[in-house]
Amino acid sequence: MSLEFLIRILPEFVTPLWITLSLWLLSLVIGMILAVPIAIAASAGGLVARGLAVIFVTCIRGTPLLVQFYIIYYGIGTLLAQIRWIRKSAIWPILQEAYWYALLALVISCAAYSAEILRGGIRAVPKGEVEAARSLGLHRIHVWRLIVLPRAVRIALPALGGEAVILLKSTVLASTITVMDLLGMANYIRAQTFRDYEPLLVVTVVYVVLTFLLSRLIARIERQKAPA
Amino acid sequence: MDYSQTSFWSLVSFSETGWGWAFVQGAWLTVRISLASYLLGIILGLLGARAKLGGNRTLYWLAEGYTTLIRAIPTLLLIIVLYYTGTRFFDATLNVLGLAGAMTLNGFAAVVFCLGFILGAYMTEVFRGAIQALPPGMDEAARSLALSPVQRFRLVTFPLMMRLALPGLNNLWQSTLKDSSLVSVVGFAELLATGKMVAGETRMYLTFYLFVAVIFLALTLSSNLVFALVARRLDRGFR
Repeated sequence: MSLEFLIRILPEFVTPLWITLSLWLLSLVIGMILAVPIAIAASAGGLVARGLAVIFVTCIRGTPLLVQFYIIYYGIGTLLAQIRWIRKSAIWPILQEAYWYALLALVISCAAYSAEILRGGIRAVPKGEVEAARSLGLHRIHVWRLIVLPRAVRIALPALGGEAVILLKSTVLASTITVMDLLGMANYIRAQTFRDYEPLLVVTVVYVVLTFLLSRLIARIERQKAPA
Repeated sequence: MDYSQTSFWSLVSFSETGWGWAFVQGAWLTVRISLASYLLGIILGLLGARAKLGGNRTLYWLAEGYTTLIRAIPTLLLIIVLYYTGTRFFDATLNVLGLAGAMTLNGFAAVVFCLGFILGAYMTEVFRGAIQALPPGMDEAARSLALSPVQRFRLVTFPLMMRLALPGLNNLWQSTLKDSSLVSVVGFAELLATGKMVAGETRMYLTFYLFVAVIFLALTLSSNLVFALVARRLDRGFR
């Protein structure tokens, strides 16, 4: 372990840090937005919608995220490369970037886990509140938008916060499909210099700091939004 | 070799040219790693919960540091760190003892140590929560019957606490099963590594990664059933 080497490689981690953070934030926002219709379908949809939502959530939660990364990047990625018009189209350069495949995998995972959490929240909304809203003559859509969803989100807030932390830690998997995130950069430096401890230490410390800050932030949001 | 004309079922068959046995071996190894690290995790978790609730300040802060740090670091990163530093440390220790090369660290043991050590931190929190949720009267009653500390744990705290810990234990078993796939990154030939090898050989990436996913799904869903049965047994007398 050499402090001098450690300081010398630090600047290399600035761009990877942004890649990790953007992967996390984008997949969190998109995933949680997608989770809402999935959770509604799973708890109040017709037979087909409910079945599809439950199957989606079960399959994603029942298989390793790393396998999902490989299916999306190596599986779907190589499949797309075999289709000629896609290879000639303007979006092909984008489709070659591993970043987007990592983002897709994280979005799907976040959507499935958050939908399951939200479904629990929806189930925990007191029945009387829904009946009261109906008896006021509110439309089905309004009952959902004004009563059920806000209550469900508040009830599910601690679990959703936990999911945000898990998602942050899941971003390391992007390195396994060649994305230059924090761990990707560490592995690159390890391969180039044959030094393991310094780059791995940098990534570890960054993740500890990030999860610590995130947990503090979540605790604050929870205190403000806690159900009265 | 060109596999594009070969059917999927003949590729996963148990014949001489099929990879059926390779997948069975990979899945069996995944189950064994998961079971072994789960067991190690439970032992570390019980010790950790004991350290957190036992009242000894040094042990408390040791356990607190262990759970906080491990749970703040991504599992894949921890596996890489523990695996490389662990095996190096093992070799260095042998060197110091003048036994260089006399023993090589068993890959299975190294991987189970990594996963179990990580799992122990999460287990500690599950057991701590379950023990704290027990009514204090239970332990007091056991004390008033003059049971020894070991008897109190074995006959009262443990069986009652397990019922409350079960949902958390189920969650952790599911994530152990899934996280065991991460050790393919350090070159261990479990189920996902088998899938990777076959996918590369046949160039049928989508097919074989989906196949691996289906096997994992079968494992997680069937173990869910086992936990449901255990929960029903532990719940008897409470409904």
